[in-house]
Amino acid sequence: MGRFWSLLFLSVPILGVAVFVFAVVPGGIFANHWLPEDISQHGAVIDNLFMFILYLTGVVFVATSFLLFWFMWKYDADKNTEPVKYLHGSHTLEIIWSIIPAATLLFIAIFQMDAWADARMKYPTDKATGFKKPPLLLVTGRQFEWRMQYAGADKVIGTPDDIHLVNDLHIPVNEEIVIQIQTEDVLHSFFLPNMRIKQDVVPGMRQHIWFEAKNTGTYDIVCAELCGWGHYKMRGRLIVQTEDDFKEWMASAIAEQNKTSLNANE
Amino acid sequence: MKQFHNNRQQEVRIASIAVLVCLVLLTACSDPAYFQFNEAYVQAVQLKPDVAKPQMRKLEKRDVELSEMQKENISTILEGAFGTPDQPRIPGGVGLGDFLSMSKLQQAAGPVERDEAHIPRGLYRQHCAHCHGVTGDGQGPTAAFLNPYPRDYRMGQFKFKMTDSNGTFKKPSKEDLKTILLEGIPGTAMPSFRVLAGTDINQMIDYVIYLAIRGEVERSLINAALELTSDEHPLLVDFNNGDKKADDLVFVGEMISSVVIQWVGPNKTGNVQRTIAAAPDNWNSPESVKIGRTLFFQGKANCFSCHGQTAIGDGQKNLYDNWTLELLGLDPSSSDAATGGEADVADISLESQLYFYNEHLSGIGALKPRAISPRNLRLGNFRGGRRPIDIYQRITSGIQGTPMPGNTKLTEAETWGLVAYVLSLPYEASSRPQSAPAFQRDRN
Repeated sequence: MGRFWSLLFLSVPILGVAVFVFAVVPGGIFANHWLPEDISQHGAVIDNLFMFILYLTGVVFVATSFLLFWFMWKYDADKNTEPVKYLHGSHTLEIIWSIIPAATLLFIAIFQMDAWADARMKYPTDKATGFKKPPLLLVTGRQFEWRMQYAGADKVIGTPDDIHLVNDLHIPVNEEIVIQIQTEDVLHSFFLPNMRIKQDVVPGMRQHIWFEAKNTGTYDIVCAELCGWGHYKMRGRLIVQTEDDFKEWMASAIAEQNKTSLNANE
Repeated sequence: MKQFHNNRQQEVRIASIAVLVCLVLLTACSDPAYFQFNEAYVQAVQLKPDVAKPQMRKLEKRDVELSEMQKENISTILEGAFGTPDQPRIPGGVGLGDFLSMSKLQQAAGPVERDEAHIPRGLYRQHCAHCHGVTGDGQGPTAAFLNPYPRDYRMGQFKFKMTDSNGTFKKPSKEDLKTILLEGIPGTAMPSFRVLAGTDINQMIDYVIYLAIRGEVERSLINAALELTSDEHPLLVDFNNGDKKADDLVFVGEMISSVVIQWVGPNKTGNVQRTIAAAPDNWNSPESVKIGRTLFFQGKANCFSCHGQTAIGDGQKNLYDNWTLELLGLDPSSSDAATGGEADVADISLESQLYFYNEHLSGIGALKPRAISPRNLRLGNFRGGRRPIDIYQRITSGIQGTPMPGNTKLTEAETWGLVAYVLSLPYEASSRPQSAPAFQRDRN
């Protein structure tokens, strides 16, 4: 019976690693289960950090799992008749297994500092003016949708020329975008999977996120914080356009919002 | 002792397996979906409030009452004409052929699943039913938690639309319903469904119209059945009497047609949005806003009487929409009730109004009535849309089913002045209280 349990525990690292391998290999049963396509300028840094931590924890996971298996196999009660020996703990070993993880965590904390600073602290400046870049729009989360309020021509949010849209975020490609986010009701999390952007939207706080898209196309906006019964339907679409297309779209959105005639022949 | 222990463990094991099996069976064997009978409406038309003593709200029973047999008969007729939630049917010979598409209805109806081509089915139950209910009665499982309540389609009244409010063809066009699905209704629980495919949206639109027509036909049938009660043949359609059945079905067909015609319009393909001539160039000039502000407080436009002196919607507290009026035992079709009901409703507190609901409706699942508040115009939440033409349409055509009337007395310039004023309200200094001290480093 003891051998059975040790083999069962051996299957944990094997299946665990297999799941990751299947997810990475294109096609197959777990296709599209790896990271979504990265279309952001800074996303590679985030992905590399993720991969680094995955490899590190992966090695530890496999090593400890095999050790567990090996001890169970070797000291199986059915095969060993020797009485159990009691050993007092080893001071040296305890120091080693405290210092190694502590040093590793400290290394990760320092190693990721630049990524964190770029994503959260180095607010972009407008190259033309040298001032802080004004947000392109305000995104307001509410149960269960994302409402967009573009700053409009005057680049100030909260003025009559703002453009109001819902679940529909258009941005120009190859340009650093600043978005102000807030919530109208409960905690949400504004998540652009393809942009490697995820920021909790906390009631009472206005926060800023910034990113630059590399590719044009249509991508997802989702809510990544359980916010109520309709959380699953709190989805929007992110449309990355060329600068010309974006300007054209913006002009049409302005025209639509200022519509003062319907079906009239002009 | 050990024996006993083992037995206990075995019992627990068997019991847990039995519970699991039961759960699986329960989920697998749920009843097929059915349309719920409109009991609330039966109560509303069977019982009339005592007009002489409105404060008491004592209800006199009419001398007629719908029998169980008649209710069953109505359900049979409806199922024959409209099918079931799993197998919808478009009644033939009533002019719906060019308006609703059977394939769209089938795709929107039924349980949530994907067909062989991996195309989603059961869209209505996936996206709409948890608020609006399988029957479209606005009483889905989440409905009670929402304010305002989800719309009950069965009355056939829709608030936000661009169709002509005068005349027969004021039901919303498909384009109007599409706008609501794409934009949602700000300030309510109705979200935007913009991420869904256009085909999905169109399927849900057809299904909502189908439910609205079915619900309105059901109401007509209930009315007609009540008229018949004193007759020798109390059934609307006598399915056992060959000769009479054919005549009866023609009668029902006419009844359905009279509902359908309001939806399909004169050209049988649906109502069209109205024409709004282009606004004068200076419609949002400061002078125009000034005209609007003056009108807001004058009897001609009379906005302030409901929306309040400061436009925050505190002018009237005891207004009810048509859906609520019915639950309070009042007739929403009487113009008095619909336009604010000065004489009928205004002096009566909601508590005494609730008498009818508590006595006759609370047991059959109707949601507890609430007063409707006039909109706070300073929030910048415009439920029917924030385009100038949206506000223009609300002012000139009102909002169906609510005390908001359409104003036909205003000139073009005056109306556009009001539009400009209403659109400027959220940006007035008094609408934007000083923001709280920044507790997060201000990055701008």
